[in-house]
Amino acid sequence: MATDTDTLAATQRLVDSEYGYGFVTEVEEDRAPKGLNEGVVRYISAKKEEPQWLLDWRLRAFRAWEERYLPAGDPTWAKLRYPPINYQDAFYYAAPKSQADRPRSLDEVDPELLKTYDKLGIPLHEREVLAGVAVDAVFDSVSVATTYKAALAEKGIIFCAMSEAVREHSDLVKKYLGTVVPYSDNSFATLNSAVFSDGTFVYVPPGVRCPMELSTYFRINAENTGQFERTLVIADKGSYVSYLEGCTAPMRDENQLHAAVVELVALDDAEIKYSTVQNWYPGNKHGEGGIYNFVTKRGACRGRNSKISWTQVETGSAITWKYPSCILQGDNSVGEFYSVAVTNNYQQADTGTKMIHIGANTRSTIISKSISAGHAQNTYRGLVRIQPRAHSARNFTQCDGLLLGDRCGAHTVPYIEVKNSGARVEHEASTSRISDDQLFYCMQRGLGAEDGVNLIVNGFCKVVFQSLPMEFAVEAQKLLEVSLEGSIG
Amino acid sequence: MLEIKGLHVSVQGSVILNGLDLTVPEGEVHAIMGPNGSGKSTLSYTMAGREGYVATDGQILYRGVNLLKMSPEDRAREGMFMAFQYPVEIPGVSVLYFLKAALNAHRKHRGEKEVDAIEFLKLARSNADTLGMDHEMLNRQVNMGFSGGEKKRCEILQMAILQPQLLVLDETDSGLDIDALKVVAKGVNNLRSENRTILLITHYQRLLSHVVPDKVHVLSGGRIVASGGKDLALTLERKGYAEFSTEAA
Amino acid sequence: MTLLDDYAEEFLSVASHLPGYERNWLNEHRQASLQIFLENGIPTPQLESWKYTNLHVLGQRALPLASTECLHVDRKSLKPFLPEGLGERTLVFVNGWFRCDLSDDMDGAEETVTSLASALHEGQLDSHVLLGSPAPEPERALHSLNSAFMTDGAVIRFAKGKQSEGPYHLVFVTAPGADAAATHPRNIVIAERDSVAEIVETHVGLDEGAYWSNSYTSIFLESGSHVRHHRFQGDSLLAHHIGTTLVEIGTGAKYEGFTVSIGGKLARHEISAHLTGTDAGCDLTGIYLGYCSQHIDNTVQIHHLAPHGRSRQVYRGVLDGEARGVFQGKVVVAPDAQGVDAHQLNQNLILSSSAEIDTKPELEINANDVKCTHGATVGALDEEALFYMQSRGISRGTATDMLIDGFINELCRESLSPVLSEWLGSMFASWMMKRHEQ
Repeated sequence: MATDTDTLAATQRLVDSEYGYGFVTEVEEDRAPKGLNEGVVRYISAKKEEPQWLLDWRLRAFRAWEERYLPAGDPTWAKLRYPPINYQDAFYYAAPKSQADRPRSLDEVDPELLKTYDKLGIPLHEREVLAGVAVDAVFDSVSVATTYKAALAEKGIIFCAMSEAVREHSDLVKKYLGTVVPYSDNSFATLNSAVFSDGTFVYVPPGVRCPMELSTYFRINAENTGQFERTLVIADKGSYVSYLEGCTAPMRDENQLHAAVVELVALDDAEIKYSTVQNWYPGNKHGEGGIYNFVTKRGACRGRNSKISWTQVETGSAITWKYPSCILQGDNSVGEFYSVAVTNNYQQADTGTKMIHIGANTRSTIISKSISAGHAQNTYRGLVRIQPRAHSARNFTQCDGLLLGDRCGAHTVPYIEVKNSGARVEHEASTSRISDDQLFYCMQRGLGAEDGVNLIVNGFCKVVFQSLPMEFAVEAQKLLEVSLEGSIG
Repeated sequence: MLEIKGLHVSVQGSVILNGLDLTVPEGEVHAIMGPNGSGKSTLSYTMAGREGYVATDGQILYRGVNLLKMSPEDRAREGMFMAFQYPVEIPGVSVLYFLKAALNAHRKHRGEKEVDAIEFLKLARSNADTLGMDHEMLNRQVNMGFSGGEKKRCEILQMAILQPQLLVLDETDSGLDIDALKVVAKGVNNLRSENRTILLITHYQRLLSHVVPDKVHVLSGGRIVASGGKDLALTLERKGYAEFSTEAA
Repeated sequence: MTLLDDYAEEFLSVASHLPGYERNWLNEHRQASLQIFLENGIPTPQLESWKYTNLHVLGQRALPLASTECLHVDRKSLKPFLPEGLGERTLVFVNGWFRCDLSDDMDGAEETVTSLASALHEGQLDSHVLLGSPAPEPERALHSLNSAFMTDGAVIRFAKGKQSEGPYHLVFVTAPGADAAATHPRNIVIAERDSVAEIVETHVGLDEGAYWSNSYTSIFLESGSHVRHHRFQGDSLLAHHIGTTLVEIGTGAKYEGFTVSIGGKLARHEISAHLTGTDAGCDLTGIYLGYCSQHIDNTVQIHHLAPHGRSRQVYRGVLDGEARGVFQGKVVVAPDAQGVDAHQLNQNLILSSSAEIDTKPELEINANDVKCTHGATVGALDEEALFYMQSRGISRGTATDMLIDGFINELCRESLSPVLSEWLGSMFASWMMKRHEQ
C-alpha cells in the first residue's frame, strides 16, 4: 500500500494537471482536511487507489451536490427539526484509527455504554469490538469470519468490503453502483456518492442460495466503515440472500452526521432479505447530542418474480431520515417493508418506504409500527405508486402508532398514487395510546407497569419481529425494552 | 335436459375437469358428490360462466343449446340459476333493488312486461313469508353482514322469485345448522317439478336426506367415476371416497 | 406585464365598485389581502398542499371580475338546481352578485338574512372579525384573492336557541358568456348558541363556459349549535372551481358537512375545520365523480384543538375516462386535546385505465389519549360482485351501474333528507348517462 505521502503527491499531480488551483492545504497524515471540496474527493479516491471511472463518478456527484443541493439546503419536507448542518465543519476522510488511539480496555469506556451492553447480554469480547477497544490478538470473531469466507467462496458468493470489491471485482461494481440510487438522487445520497468511505459488497451468483445470514457484524468493525457507508447487494438470477446490518448494541461513534446509501438489485427469480437494527447513540435525556442518520436505501426488483424484503428496527439516533424502498420493475415481483421505529426523549424519526409498482402483477406489503414516548416525534411517511403498466398490482399497507406519553407525537403521512384501474390498494392506519384495560389486566396478573408496557409493546411489534431472523428478533425485543426505559411515568 | 359432453376445463393453466360426461333428464334431481379438490366448484363455476374457467374441450348443452357460448347473464336469463357456496356481498345495493333488476332482466329477455316497484314488493314479501324471512331483510344490502344461514336463505329467496329451470346448488349445505338446512331443502323441494332440472353439488350426504336425488354421481380427478341411485350417497358416507379415487387414477 | 401586475391593475379598476368601498377598514382589509396574494401568487405544486393540483392555467393570465351586464338568467333556467320540496328559502347569486328578482322573499324569516354586499354597504359587518384576518400562508393565497375581490354572498345569522324551519339554499350561478372571468363569492354563517341550522350551497354554470369560481364560506358554530351544510358543485366542464369552507366549532357544537363535486375541468374543495371547544363534533361526507379529463380535488383539514372532540370523514370517489381524483385529508390533534376520536376513510373506484387517483390521508397526533384511524382504498369494481349479479341475469353494464350507484348513494341515504337524496340521485343518474356517452 502506498504511503500517505505518495498518495498526496499523486493527488497533487492530478489536481495540478487538471486545475491550476485547489488542493493546497496542508494535510495531516491520516485524514483529509476539514471541509468538503473537490480536492478532498480526489484525495479519498486516490487514497483508496480507485480506478478513474470511480473518481469521475465521485466528482460528478460532488459537482451535483455543490451546484444543486448545497445552495438549496437539506430537504425540509420531513417532520424533523434540527439546526442547519455545517458541511464545511466536518472531516470527510479519516483513516482507521491506529490501535494506539483506542481505549486500552473496557475500563476506559463510558460506563453508561457498558451498562447497556450488560442489559442486552452482549458477550464480553464482543463488547470490546463494539466499544472500539484495541485488540491485539486475533480473536474469536475474526476466525469465525475467516471460516465463513471460505464457505462462501466455495459457492462463488462475493462478500467483502466495498473498497476491496472496487479493486477485485471492478466490473461488477461498475455495472451496478449507482444504478438504483443515482449519484444525484437526493442531497444526502449525493454527498455519500462523492465521499463514501467504505461499506459492504455482496454478489450471489445465479441459482445460489446463500447458506448463511450475511452480516456486517461478522465483517468486523475493525474496518471502520465510517459515516458515509456504501452498500451494494446483487442477487443474480434465481439466487437468495439474507443480509443483516448493524447490531443491537449501541455503537460508539464520534461522527454526528451519517449518510449511508444501500442499493439492492434482484434479478429474475432472486430474493433479497435485508434486515437492519439501528441503534446509534440517540442523545441524552435532554435531547443533546446523538447521531443524525440520513440514509438512502433502495432495492430494485429488476427481474421477473424477484423479491426484496426490508425489515428494520430503528431505536437509535437523534434524527432518523430513512425510507427503504422497492422499485418493482419485473413482472410478478414482490416488495415488503416491515418496520418498528421507537423514539423516546427528544428523538425524531421520519421513516417509511416507497413502493413503486412498474411491472404487471407486482405486489407489496407495508407494515409499520411506531412507538413514541417522552417528547419524541415519530412520523411514518410512505409512497405507494401504481404506474399505468402495473396491471393487477396489489398493495396492502398498515401503519399503527402507539403513544406512551402526552408530550410526544405520532404522525402518518401516506401518499397513494394509482394510475391503473386493475390495481387494488388498501391502506389502514391507527394511532392510539396503550390501552388502560390491557395494562390493568397485566398488572392484575402481577406484572409491574414497566413490564406490562414492554409486554404490550412487544405484542404490538410482533408481526415485524416475526420477519426478522430468529436471533435478531430476540435481541430486538430486549433492545425495545432498553430504549423505552424510563418512559413510563 | 342437461347434457355435459367430454368437458375439459383449465383454471390458471392447470387442468381441473378432464373429460366430464353427465346427463340429467328434465324433471330429475341429480347429486354430484366428490372429495375436496375433485373439481366440484369448477363444474358449477364453468356452468355459470365465471371468467378464468376455460373450457378447452367439450360442451354443456341445456335444451340443446351450448351454454359455454353464452355470457353469464344470458345463461341466467335462459333459466339457469347457481346457488353460490359463498354468496357475494354487494355494498350499497338492496336485496329488493337487486332482485327487481334481475327479475326484470329475465322478463325483458322473455319479451314480457317489466314489473313495477309495488307489484315487485308484494311478490318479494310473499316469497319472504313462505321462507320465514323477515321483511326487513329485503331492505338490507345484498348479503352484507348476513350470517351464513341468512345468506343461504337469500339464495333460496332469489331462486323462488326468478323461478329458474336449471338449478345448480354449489355446496349450499356447507356451514348450515339443521334449521337452515331444512329451509334450504324446503326451498329446493318446492321447486321440484317435471320441467326443472336440478343438480346438487355436495361433499356430504346430509342435504340428500332432505332433498332425495334421483341419481348420485361421484366426481373424482375431474371425471364422473361412478353413478348410482340415492343409496350410493349412503355408501359414500360409510366408506369414504378413497376407493373411487383409486379407480379414477 | 406579469400576471400579478394584472391583478393589481384589475383591483385598482374595480375597487370603487366593490361593496363597502366607503368603509376604510374594509378597504384596508381588501388591500392587505391583495398584498398577500401578490406576494405569494397562484399556488404551485411545490407547496405540499397543492402537490397534486396544478393551477398553471390560472397562472397564465389574470381573470377579471365577471360582468354583471346583459345577464339572461330566469328562474326557469335554474329549475334543475332547485329541488322541489326544499321550501322557499332560496337565495340566488349570478356571477357573484345577489339577485333579488330570482330569490325568495326573506322578510318573514326568523333568521337574520342579508346579502354580503348590503351588509358591507350598510355597515352591518362593522369590522373584519367575521371576515377573518388575511391569511399569510402561500397555500391560502386564493383565499386572500377572494378577500380582496369578494363581491357578494349570503350572511345568515341563526338566532340563539332557535331551530331553523328548513334549509336555506344558496345558489351560485355563472351566467352564459362568462368566459375567462372570475367570481369571488363569500358567505358568512353564524349559528348562535343552541341553534339548529341547515344550508344548501350550490355552484353551477348555465353553459359550458371557461370561467373561474373562487368561493369562500365561513361558518361559525357557537356552543351547542348544530349546522348541516350540504354543498353541491356542478360547474361547467371547462370551468375552474376553487371552493373553501372554513368552519369553527365551539363547545358541544356539531357540524355536518356533505360535499358533492361533479363539475369543473379543475375543481378543488377545501374544508378546514377547527374544533375549538370541548366535545365538538365534525362529520364530513364527500362524493366526487369525474370523467373526461376532469381534475377533482378534495382537501380536508380537521384541527382538534380541544379535548373530547369527535370527527368523521367518509369520502368516496369514482373516476372514469382520463379523470384524476385527489384526496388529501389531514387530522391534526393538538397537544392536550385528549380524548379525541377521529376517523377518516377514503374509498375510490377507478373505472378506466387512463383514470388516476392520488390520495393522502394524514394523521398528525400530538396528544396521547386519542383514538385516530384512517383508511384508504383504491380499486376497480369487485369482479366477484359483478359475476354474482350477472349470474342472476343482470347485464354487466347494468351491474356496473348498480354497483357505482350503490357506492355513492349509500352515503346520500345515510346522511341526507329524502328530498336532497332524490335530487342528488337525479344528478348522479345524469352523470352516469354522460359517462356512457363518452
